Amino acid sequence: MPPKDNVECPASLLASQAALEEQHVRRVYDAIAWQWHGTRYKAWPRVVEFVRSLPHGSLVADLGCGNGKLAPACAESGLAAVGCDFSSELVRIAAREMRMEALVADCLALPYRDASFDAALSIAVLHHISSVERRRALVSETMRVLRAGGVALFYAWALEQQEGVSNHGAGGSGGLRRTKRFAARDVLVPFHQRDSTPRRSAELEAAAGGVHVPDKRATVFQRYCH
Amino acid sequence: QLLTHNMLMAPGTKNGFPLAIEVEKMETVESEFRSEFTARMVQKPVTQVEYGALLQTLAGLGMDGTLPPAVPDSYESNEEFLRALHHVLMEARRVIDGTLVCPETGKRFPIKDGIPSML
Repeated sequence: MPPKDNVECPASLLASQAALEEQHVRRVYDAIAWQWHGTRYKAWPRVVEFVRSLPHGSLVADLGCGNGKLAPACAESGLAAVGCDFSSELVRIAAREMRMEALVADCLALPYRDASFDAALSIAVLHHISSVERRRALVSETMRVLRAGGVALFYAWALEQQEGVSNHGAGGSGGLRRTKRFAARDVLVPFHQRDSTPRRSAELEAAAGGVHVPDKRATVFQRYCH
Repeated sequence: QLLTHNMLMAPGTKNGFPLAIEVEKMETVESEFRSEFTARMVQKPVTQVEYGALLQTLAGLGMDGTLPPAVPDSYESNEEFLRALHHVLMEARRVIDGTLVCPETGKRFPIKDGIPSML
């Protein structure tokens, strides 16, 4: 997700927490689910590596499964994966297109028994949670559903990026520095849904506050990211 | 599938499981049997499947007697048991449309097109 043209998230909006996540995360994903699925089909290598390291027959909870792009890797590794996401449109895609056992749920209030899973995945979810308390709660909930000795992988975008990573031979010290790509610690990142996208829903787009931009032949949504 | 159902608990409760299942539409699918995979579901000490809850759920679905009252001692090599368990957990009674009901609060969670909504 290269964050282009992102703007600082207004403080009052940030303070609304759950409402912010409802409007600028859940509703946006519901509106862009099909284009999202069409452009995010490749599972990230380090995540696949983690999945492959799990023993056969492990019960894995994909918490924030999105379009279910980890379902094939889980199946290939002989794992029993259950995905959940609070975007019902994405869950529908995960279940139908990726054949994942999936359900609609809130990562901060998981519908699972204590210690019911061997492993948990939280991929690209933390950065959509709008306060320290809620991020802590997500981590606690994740650990609650893991059995003793279970493992979790959390993957999230970082404000600080490694210096010199994309500039080979630039002579950077390799230390971390605050990247200039992000306008602030909490931002709204635009997502352009092309007019030509199949399976658009006027209703979902309106609910997500999409703004049509004729020159770009797209409707723009603002996604909240921490 | 019943394997997933065995993990479900009504969010925000302490003992909101097993959820009662009201079936409107269901199907049975076929999936490849792998004995090691299935054995791991009841393996101790890392067992995650609540066997008692599973039996209770089966009784509610009119499937009494499909599984023995307890996990047999040498289950790893008991193919008959493992195949029955595989069938129950992964193949039979996949609910397409219905409702899950919390035994603690009575809250109802809909299942539509095979997808439960647990918000």
